[in-house]
Amino acid sequence: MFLLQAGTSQHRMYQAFGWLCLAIPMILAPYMMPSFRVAQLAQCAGWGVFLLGMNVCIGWTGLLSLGHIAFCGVGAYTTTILINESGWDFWMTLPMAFIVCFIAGGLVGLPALKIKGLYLALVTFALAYTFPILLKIEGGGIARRTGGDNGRNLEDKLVPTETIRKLLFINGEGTDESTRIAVYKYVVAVLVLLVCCLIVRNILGSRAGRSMIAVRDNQIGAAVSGVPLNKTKVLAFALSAAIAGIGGSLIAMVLDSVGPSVFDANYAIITLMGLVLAGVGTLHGAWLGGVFVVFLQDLAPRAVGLIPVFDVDVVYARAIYGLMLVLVAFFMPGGVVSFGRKWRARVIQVQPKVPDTSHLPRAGAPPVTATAAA
Amino acid sequence: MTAVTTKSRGSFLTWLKTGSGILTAMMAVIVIALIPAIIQGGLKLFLQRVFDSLNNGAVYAVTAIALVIIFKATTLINFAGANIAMFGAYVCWWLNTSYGFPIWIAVFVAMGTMGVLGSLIERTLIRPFDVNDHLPVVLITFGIAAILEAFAGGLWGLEFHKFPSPFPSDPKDRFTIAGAFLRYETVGTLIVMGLMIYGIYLLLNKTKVGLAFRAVSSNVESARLVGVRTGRTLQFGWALASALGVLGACLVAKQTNLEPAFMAKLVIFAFAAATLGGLDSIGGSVIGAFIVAVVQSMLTGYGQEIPGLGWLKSNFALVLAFVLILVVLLFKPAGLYGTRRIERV
Amino acid sequence: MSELMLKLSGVNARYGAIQVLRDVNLEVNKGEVVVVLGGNGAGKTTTLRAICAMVTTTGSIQIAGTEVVGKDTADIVRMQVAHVPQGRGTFPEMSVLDNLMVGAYTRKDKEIQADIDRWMDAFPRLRERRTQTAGSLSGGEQQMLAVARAMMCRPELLLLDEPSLGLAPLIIEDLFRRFGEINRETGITMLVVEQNANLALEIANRGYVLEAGEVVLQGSAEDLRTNEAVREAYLGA
Repeated sequence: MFLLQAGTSQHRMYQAFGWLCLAIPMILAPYMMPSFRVAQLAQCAGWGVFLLGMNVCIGWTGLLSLGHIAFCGVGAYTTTILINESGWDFWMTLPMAFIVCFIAGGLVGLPALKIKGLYLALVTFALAYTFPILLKIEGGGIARRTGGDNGRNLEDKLVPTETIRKLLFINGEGTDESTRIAVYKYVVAVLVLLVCCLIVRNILGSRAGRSMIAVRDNQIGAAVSGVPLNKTKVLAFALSAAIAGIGGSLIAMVLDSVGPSVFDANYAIITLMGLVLAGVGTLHGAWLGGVFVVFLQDLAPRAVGLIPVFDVDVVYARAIYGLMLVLVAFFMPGGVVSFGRKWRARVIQVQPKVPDTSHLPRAGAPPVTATAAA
Repeated sequence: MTAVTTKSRGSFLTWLKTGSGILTAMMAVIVIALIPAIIQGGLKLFLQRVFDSLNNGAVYAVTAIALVIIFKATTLINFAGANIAMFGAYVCWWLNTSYGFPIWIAVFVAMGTMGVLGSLIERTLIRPFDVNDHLPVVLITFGIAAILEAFAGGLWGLEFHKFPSPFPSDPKDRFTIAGAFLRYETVGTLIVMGLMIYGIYLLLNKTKVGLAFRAVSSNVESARLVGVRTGRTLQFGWALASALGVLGACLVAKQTNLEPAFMAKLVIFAFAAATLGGLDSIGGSVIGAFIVAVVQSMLTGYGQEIPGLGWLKSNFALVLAFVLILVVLLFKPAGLYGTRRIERV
Repeated sequence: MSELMLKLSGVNARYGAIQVLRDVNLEVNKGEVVVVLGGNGAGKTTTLRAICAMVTTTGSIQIAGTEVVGKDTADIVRMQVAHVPQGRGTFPEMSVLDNLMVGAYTRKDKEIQADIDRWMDAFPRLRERRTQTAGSLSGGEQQMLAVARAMMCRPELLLLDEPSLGLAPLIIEDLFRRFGEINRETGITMLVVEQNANLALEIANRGYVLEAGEVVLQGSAEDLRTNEAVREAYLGA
């Protein structure tokens, strides 16, 4: 067991080591894997952004929403329609998806947050259920723009330019075009994920973030301390919807297509399971959850095949999801991240530095790290 | 058609600004918008659409009651309810078609089986958790839903199965009222629903277990202090809700046919009905169910004839139900007959 | 008056990581009225909750000679123990009549209706409002309802948790007079937790003073009334 003092050089080295363990595989992966795997990893990053948004709502504000998949869809369709019909650049559609989903989130959150407890789960689940049908409404040209049942392909795909290819070392003779596109998409998705993580981390450390966490931990306590409950909840809900929408844009970009079957109630549950399995209320839980979302769908049918009792039947893959949901609730409520933290704590402990409050007029603001780790 | 009645104190305008006023006004707007189309279509068509909606209304009501019972007792929303009901309907169908059970015997056996399963679920999967910690419980109910759906598909196939009708269902089995047809099936469904509601009323108000159930719904801590075994009472609630859900599923399966997701498709309407009625009011959710069913039938039936609503199609009814949930929550969160308790702290 | 109704020895109780009761020893004889005094957070309510197994408890609690630690609340209630929790603990959505019916939940005899009449005679306001929901009653009426409901199970031991909380002084006096009457008429044993020490000591035979989860003082009501520390802390004299 090692004991580290926060702020010492050993601690900094330990932190750097931790980040390298994360960064090196992330950087090397696209160059060492076949292109379809790289594309899957890019999807992981897209779902990671989506789960980060969901986490703002579920993990840090304590609002149990099951309908964020619909906002993800709104983001994806916003990107698709803007690219296909208005000829926008992919990058330009991201802020637009953010704004559209922010407004959509506010519109749903305003009524849905009026009721305590599980009602929000009910309303948002109804939203997840309704969204694929909304896409098929023929009035107002909705079905024409969304492509209805069939969905739509992106007409202007994201292709790396000459400079970008050189920058990413994918300009060589040995790499074919599909690998180049996959690697580029992966890099874009991961960059957006990193930026979103940074934004969320900063928000959590801010006054607004502390209000959110206070609402989660003790509503009445937060209210009597002057946190405006309704405003905080609706804003957090809208913000989380907006980030989920960015995730949707990324997913549309990675898949080069959108369709109602990616944004339905089924995915609402799969993504929720991914998030909980990875770790609700943690930054690492978001990207790790994205990995689970993508790869569990690969693995569950195979796992069924291993059980000799059943015919190898894809139907039972759903039973595996179901079983996992139950097992996660019982045995890993904090997910892989808190499980890992528990084990790490047995090996390495970091003693926090006493915060320097001498420059503050009075004690009050807790150290940022404390809230971020919450 | 609307069931909103309020003793109007003060002026009409102040009442209109309250939640119930706004809801009533919206209902009134819908009704007025429909009037020209109704007149044009004639009485026969109108009656036919009302009759058609009654069957749905009864099924929504039964499903909504199952939801309300669990919500009342535990403030939980049982997302597995629809699939427990679905599985029960499969059991009923299987007993009937493979073993020749008479249909009503099969219905009761299926209700009993799923009732036992419901109480087991409460005992083993729900009770270990703190009800105020919603995430694990929601995960578990979704997990149960997924497992049941997988097993229904795995055991009996994903294809549609024809469900035997529990009532006389020959095309000629119908009353004719003012030219409109009222099928015996619809009447039978309504009668069964009426009996069921009366049964629940007796169970909750005239029996000891009902008294305990109401006590637990009202104040868990005090219920323990007067000697109620709260765990068993909740188990009873889950068993009752599961059995009722199966009954609802068996009543509707003739129209929808059996497939693993057939109840999940209906559950949004039951949510809407329960929300409209007030999520902790059994009577309210019945009224809410019929309002939802009638509005659904009218709007999808007459929608084509209202200018600007030509794009209304029957699958859009789901969207309508969702919008209704949002509108009710926005203006009158406790629903028509719910208690204030369910509103935010 | 020597038969023991309730005996707590070495009782510890905790909510999660916080220990609330430390080695509490307390005895109540049959037919006695015993009052537990103490400031906020002293562990008075927890003592009552421990007796009814509403909190994790270690040590020994005997009711009429039977060990109850580790038993279920429902089983303890069936030993003729009634608990009026803090904040009345009525069933707000149920009618007054149904509240009384629930009170008799553990009984199987035929005299339930007679008992309802009896307690409605004792508290005529309840008869007036028998079809109203409990939530619509005033604070004093709710407290009457809570006491009547507790008496419906024909208890031998009545636990009262701060019955005076949030009530007007006149109503409190009336309520405590009733407690005295009930005790004299039925011979019921009472354990009363109270901040209003003056009134409580008037109807009590003996009393305990809790501080930070420990019994710091005990004695007859007379002794406590004259005790300098008690006078200063709880009697406002």
